[in-house]
Amino acid sequence: MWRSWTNRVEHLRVQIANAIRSVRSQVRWKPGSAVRHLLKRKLRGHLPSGATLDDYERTIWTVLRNLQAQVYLYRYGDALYVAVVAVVEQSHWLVMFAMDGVMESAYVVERPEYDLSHPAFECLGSLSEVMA
Amino acid sequence: MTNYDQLVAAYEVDVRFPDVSGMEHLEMLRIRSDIARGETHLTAEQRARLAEADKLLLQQARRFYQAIQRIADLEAWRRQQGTPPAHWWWYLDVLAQLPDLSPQETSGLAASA
Repeated sequence: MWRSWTNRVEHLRVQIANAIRSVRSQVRWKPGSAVRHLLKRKLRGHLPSGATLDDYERTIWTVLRNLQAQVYLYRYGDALYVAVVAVVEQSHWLVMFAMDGVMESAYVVERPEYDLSHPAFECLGSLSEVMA
Repeated sequence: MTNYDQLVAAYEVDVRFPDVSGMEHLEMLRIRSDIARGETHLTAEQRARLAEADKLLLQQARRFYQAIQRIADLEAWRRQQGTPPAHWWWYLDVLAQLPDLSPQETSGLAASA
């Protein structure tokens, strides 16, 4: 039994770092979801209209290789997700995935201070700190 | 200065994708609230586009809520943000329980926003 959520988060840091490494090596989407996400990103203007899935995944990797990116743990019930936010070409990109490395989403957040202020998001620090 | 045309355009895209992450839907609901706060600034053309987008959201309330339900407690988000009842789009959990709405009913609800 965990004495506190803080203790549990400390214990989870290794798993969080492993989840980040997993997405860094391969972006894994839920079956059939990659195309939907890509199309929405293009229609929202987050990616150019000619962007490919490779371009989308390159943006995801850019976020996950930015050592200044901020890492959050999002929890909903027993489910935990890692959310990483970094600026790419003047936009705040949020990359979110489950602890097993399967993508939840990756998109531009217009107001990160608002969207990430919900208590379900816990800021763990910069990517360099989390991966240390 | 808020660009309402961009907000309406973003919302129009969002309502076409009920099967992406529920986290994105929460952002969509926040965008809809931003539009509502500046509704007096909208042109007639923007209002018409907004009403059409609202209709799409209403018609697919169940699918949007299912996606949200997988990743967030909508009622808790609503409570945490002090969402006013007039912002009906934050009540997808309630709307999802309703029998399928006729086109006339969705038009009526969307127009009353």
